[in-house]
Amino acid sequence: MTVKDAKVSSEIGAPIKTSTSFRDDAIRRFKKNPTAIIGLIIAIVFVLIAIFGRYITPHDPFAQNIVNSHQAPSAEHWLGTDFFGRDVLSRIIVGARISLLVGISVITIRAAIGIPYGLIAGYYGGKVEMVMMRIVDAVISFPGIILAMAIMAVRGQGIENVILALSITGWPMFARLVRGEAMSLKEREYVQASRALGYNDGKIMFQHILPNCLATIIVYATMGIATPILAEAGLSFLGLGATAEQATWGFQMSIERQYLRYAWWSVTFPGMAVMIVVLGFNLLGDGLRDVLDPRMKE
Amino acid sequence: MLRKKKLFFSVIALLILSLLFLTACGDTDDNGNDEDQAANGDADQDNDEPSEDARTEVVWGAVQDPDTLDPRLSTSAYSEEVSELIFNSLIYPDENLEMVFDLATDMETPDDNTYIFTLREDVYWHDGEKFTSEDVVFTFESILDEDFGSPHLSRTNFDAVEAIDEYTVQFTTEEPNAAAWTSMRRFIVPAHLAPRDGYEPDEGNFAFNPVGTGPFKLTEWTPNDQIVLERNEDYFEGPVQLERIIRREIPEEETRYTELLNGNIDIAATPEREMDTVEANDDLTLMISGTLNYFPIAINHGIDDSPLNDVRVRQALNYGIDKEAIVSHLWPTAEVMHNPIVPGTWAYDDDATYKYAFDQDKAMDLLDDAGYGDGLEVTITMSNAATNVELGEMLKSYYDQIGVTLEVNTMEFSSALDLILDGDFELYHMGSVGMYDPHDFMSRFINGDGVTSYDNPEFNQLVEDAVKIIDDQDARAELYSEAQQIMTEDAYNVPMYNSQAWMAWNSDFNFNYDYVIRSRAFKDAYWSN
Amino acid sequence: MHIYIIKRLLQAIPVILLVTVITFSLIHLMPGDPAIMRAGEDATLEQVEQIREAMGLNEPIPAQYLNWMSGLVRGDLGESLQDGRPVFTTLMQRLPATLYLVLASFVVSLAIGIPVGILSAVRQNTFIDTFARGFALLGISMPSFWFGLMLVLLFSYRLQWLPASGAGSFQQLIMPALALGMASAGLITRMTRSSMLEVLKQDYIRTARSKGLRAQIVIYKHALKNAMLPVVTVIGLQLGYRLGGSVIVEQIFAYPGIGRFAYTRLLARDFPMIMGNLFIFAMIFIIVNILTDIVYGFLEPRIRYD
Repeated sequence: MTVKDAKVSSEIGAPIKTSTSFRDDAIRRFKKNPTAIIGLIIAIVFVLIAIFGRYITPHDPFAQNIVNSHQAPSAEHWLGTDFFGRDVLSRIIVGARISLLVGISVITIRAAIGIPYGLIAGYYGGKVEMVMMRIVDAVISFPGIILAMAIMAVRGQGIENVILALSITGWPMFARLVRGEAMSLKEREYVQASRALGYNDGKIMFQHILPNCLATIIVYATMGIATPILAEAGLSFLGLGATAEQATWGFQMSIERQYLRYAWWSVTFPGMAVMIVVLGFNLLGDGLRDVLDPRMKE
Repeated sequence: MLRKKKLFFSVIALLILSLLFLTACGDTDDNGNDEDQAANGDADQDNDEPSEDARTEVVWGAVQDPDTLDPRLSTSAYSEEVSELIFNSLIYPDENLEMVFDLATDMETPDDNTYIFTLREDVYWHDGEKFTSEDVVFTFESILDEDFGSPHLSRTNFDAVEAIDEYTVQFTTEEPNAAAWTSMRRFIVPAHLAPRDGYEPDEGNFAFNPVGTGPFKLTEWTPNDQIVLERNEDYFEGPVQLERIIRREIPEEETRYTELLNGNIDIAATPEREMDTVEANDDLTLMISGTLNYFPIAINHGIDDSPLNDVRVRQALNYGIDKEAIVSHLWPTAEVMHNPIVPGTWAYDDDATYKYAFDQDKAMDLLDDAGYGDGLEVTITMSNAATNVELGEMLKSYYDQIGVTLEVNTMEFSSALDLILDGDFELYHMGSVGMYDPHDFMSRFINGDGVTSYDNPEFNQLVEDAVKIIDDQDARAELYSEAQQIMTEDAYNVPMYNSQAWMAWNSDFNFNYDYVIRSRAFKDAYWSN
Repeated sequence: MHIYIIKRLLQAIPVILLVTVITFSLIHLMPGDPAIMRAGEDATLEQVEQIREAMGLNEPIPAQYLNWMSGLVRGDLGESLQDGRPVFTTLMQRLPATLYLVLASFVVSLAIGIPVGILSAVRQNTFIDTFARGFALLGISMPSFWFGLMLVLLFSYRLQWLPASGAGSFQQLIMPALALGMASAGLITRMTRSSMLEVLKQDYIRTARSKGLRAQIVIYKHALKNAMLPVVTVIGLQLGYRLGGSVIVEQIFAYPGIGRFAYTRLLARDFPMIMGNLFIFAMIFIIVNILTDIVYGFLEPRIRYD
């Protein structure tokens, strides 16, 4: 059928679902990409830590023992103890769950709002697009962290609100991305053909246009997981992030930073956890782009 | 391929390690040799003579900007520490909390309801106008005016003010009030410049361009950055030695401390946990002073059907935590308190005060008796300052052990204050500062008028009687003793601690810090070289 | 082109209107108000009410919005509820320091990002490439307040090379600019690398190379010029991020800019000042992006104007 042929010949956003040769090709190229593999390993390790965190902590991450306050790293406490004598390693392990939760849920929500929004705007065009994109422009024109700060001031501290604030400030980027892709894809013959065949708009958008933007979306989302984790750390520093019960890495760092000068470990190690995760998802995203985006093919 | 990967890893590892190393190295010399240096730490305070070419400018590293410099409209400590240099008051408390004169030269009390002040006649405003009784009356009338919206109004213990002649002012109270004088300690603003409508904005508004009678004039104020004060050459006590004070706002404690150590600022409050290091540093002089600050965990007595209305529950909350351990861990310089009156002041009675020792068994028995043996949920509301968050973690861990589930609700200061003033809280933690007379503290717990809605008829009576006793401190103290016994046995709240105030400065700077005198000490300060 | 510019400007009007609605409603949903801050922790409710009345906070919200808007149309952002100063003047006083910082941070990220990006493109898939990309990513991966504190600890506390706070001298600018610029160096590296790679594959570059022109000349003269185009657009979009990042960086280095000011006044609930601040931020972003679009239009006449 014309539709299928057109898909294969489309050069942007390869149709990963239909072409097995492309998939094999992609996997082969992924395997040849050392940084992507490192990224993948980091991501998997941290996701596992997030899932099994509570069962693998060497010490109780919440048991306070102020006699042990700020012990330097030792055989007993590999990464030292914090102000309340709690094991830093154990706290990083349980913090992984909440920090990754922030990253993944924010990206999911952003995508859930931004993708259909962008599809509709890009597909219909005209007045609809005009109105929709002005809303996007308005949200984008505030510096993200400042808008998030204001939302946190309204809603109060807590991880649910952090997720809400960061989702609200970030979805327009998804919308813009998808809208751009949708705009160029809707001119393609296979989409025009589906229209002519009388397929309804929803079907065209989600079955024909969306799959062809998926590569771009996946790359963007993978790299995007890192940003909410960093943003949450920033909000925690300003006192507008997680609460003590949801000790994210950012929270741990921002509270312990007052002791940085003589107990560097309780700030530095959670910071390195953030660094490694962010690095991991960025490497993975970089790698995925090299693999999924045929324009980058050598 | 494999080699490449290994190399990549080792380079990343190297980078991380070097970062670590750079931050880690050298921290031994911070904590290492405290003992041998502590001895000569405060030795070099007395090289007094100001030399010819000594510096005449001081850079002061402050935490926060004043909210306004119209002193009638602010209760902020940051505002007060600047206003003290620009303005004067009729009277001040001295370091023994006794009243001393400033713009006044004498005070007479012909009867228990009247205070007549004689004013200095040699005082001029920074713009050259003469200071008279009109200014005093203007200042206090605007504070007393409800429509003006001064936050000092509810802390004012007299009812009327009038000018008798150009240099005589009379204050009257409707009933005798032993604490009346503390509310006469307010900075006087010029009637010819200060607005009668406090929040009326305009380009050159007074709140931003204050004119006072004090030893320094404001010459520059860049909001949330710096305030520059220049010496007032016509100060009525003669010009002071310092020519200029630059007060810089440096919000991050770490940065402020580093700048002090590097000599980029000359004076600042150092981190509370660095006292020993600062003490041991020959380049810095540290002074720690007692305060009248009271930091409790306050209990709301005004919620219908709340478990907190049961005295046994309130006592259990007191018994359930190790206050000594909490206070010494979170506020190493502070002392545990047992009632709002600071130990060492005349109204404090140690024997009358019931002190709740750390006894979790007793706490659990009390909860059992009260019918909360199976547990109890309580929420505490606080601002999100780092130590508050830490306090929450410690309290939670203690209360868990006696079956009380504490929900810690930290938020921005203004949000917390909103809830607290609305009475929308179970427990809260926030400090009370700047109160000089015991009545200032005690009156917050009478007739259910205070934020905590505490209302105990016997206690109300004692406090109301005590403040009517003029000129007989012992008789007043006796009533306060009884009141202290009632409130502590009734577990009116969970008293926590009395904080200390401190300041560290370049050892060449001759300065004399004290909680009561505070920044007025700049008046007599000078550089040795 | 003229029509395009006019169209862009017209598009900005509804955006600005939306910005004001968002700003205003956010601020009025916040718990706490300046009257409470003024009253202090031992005030009575009655007294808070008096202060609210005196400050004019008791007017109905729609009326306040209309007031604010009518001021805005006349170019008046109102006065601070905290110190009574005009909002616009105060903000303009603080803006230059931040713009200066943002500019310096762009210098940092371009100075790191472009050379590293080129190197990594030219030596694609070598160890240098991997290393350069890893290094660039390191900047993105650090929470900025942590990096800032590390800088203070290292360069001010241990080595005593640089002042830890303030603004005015070149030395005072180094650390804040590094803290703000490092995060985006990685992004610039990545953009430079990928656009370079694309350009290097183009026929005319291959031709130039095959003609025996020296590799460096090819890279600098031909490839770089064309590869910079996407980098230019990123700068416009990055501006919002930088203005936001300035909040944290300015707070750590006590840098007297508009970001730290926004944060301080947010905590103080100085409503007119917060509104003005958010509005100015949004305006800067809108204007700069219109400008980048126009510049881009000149550089690359092929783009569609829609």
